[in-house]
Amino acid sequence: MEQERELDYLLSQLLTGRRVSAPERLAPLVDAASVLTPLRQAMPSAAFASQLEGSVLRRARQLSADPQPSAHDALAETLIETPERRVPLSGSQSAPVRARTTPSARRLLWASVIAATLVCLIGGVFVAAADAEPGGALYVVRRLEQNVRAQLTANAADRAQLHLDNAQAALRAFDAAVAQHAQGARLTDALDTFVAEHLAARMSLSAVTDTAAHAQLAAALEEQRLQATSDLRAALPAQDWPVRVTVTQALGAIGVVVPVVTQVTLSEAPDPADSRGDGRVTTVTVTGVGFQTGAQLLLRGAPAGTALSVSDDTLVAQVRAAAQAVASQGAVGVGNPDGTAAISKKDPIFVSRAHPTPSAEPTKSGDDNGKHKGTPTPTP
Amino acid sequence: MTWPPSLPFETALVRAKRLDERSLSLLYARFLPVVYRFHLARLCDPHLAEDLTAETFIAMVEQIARARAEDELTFAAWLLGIARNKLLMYYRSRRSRPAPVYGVPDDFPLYTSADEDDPLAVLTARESWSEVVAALNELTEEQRNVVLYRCVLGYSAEEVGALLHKQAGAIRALQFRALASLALRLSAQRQDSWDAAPQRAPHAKGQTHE
Repeated sequence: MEQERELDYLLSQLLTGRRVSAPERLAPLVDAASVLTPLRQAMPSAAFASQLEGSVLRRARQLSADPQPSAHDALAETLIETPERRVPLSGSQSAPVRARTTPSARRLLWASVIAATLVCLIGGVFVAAADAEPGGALYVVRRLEQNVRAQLTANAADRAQLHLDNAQAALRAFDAAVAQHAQGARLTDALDTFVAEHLAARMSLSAVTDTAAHAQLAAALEEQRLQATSDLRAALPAQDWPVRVTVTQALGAIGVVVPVVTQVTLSEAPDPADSRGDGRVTTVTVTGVGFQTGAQLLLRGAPAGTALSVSDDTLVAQVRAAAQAVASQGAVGVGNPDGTAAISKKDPIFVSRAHPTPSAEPTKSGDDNGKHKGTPTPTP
Repeated sequence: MTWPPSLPFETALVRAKRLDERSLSLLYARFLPVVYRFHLARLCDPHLAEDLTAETFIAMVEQIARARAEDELTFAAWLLGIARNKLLMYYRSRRSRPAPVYGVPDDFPLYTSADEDDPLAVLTARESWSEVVAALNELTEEQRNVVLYRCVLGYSAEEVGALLHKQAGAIRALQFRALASLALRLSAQRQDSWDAAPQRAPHAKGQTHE
């Protein structure tokens, strides 16, 4: 603050033409200011000053006589070349006037151009998205447009019909993807859209009060559900197990009985076949519903181990690996012979673990996130 | 920076707003150097500065009836606002057209009277003016305005504060930073210049200014 005041004082001295002895730290700044001070003597030529004054006063007279704003632009552009410079003249001496866009009009013009471009771009995106297929880059926009259109449909019957149509289109896209052996986003996008739109149609149907319309829509909805059940089941065998899990969930969402895994427990024991004594066998017990005879244990999205017993709600299988290794392989699930599959959404529970032999690697505490009990506990 | 004639500025301004020619002449005479120097400090060409000065005064006449200014300082702020707009429009139009080649004429007094007898000083002043303009153009808008209003137009820190709607202390701080930045840029340019022409004898510059 002090040096800023000091500099200001030195500048005042400099500007009044006095000698300035600047301290070393401020000398470069005063130097820089002194570069500009010659400008304080600069004056336009006397001829220019006189000519411009004449122009200014003529313009004032013109404005007094005819205060039309339209004269402004004409005068501003009315310039005449002199050997030295261009000087504005009054309207009486004006050169041909050319049209001129004022800054505000130019800004407005630019804003309009930008707005029109944006509208065209957004409109173009929506037009292009209207034909976008599941898995495509613009499919998100198409879904957005579908949702907005459904939200804007006030009549419940119309809205239900719209959702049914969307679901039907998604089912067709799913069938096409399956026929072409497509994988990934194309398949899952179509499936997700079908489920979402089918459920939305069902929800909209509940708000339809007209009996005839309700009956008609309910029949269409059921017909679509049956078709989807058939199509999705038919698609299952050709898919990988992770896709089968997704398709199975979709089937469950539209009301088909499918397998569901609720709990997985792991029980570890020494492997009797291992002569060295450090091998482990883990018994995996999967609890849930909808398990079929011949169901398999799924580990890391693939069949694994040997099924020991299968009932509608329990599958017991044995895996030649330590419990920790089984748990670390990701979600544990069940695959039915008809292609439906389900995985556990919860981590497995360690029921028992074999005591480590002296040669075996000691188990570190916390490896199993506290789920390892160390001693057998009853299965719930 | 006081109003020279016996007629109070406020009275002259009120009459000028009614397009009274005598009052307009008084305002013109008072502010012609201000506007011209403002433009000259931002351009390398005195003739171009005169063109923009002319445009500024024509706009002043056309808009003065709507001006809210009531005293000399607020009128100066208003007029310099017009000048800034004209300059801005010039730079905008120049972006869409090829830049003309401007130069400082031989008779243009960019050197002080003390240097007039020193041919090297005169030559150096002419050559370096475009560098000064370039350095000024690299400052921020606020810094540039403070430097121009203070060092070229000669307003005090308090007056600059009133012109730019800031406290005098803030103006002094801005002025300090602006001159430091300007000094740095000029120093770098001079270094580049000497590096490019090492055979040229440097023009000594002491710490004493007149």
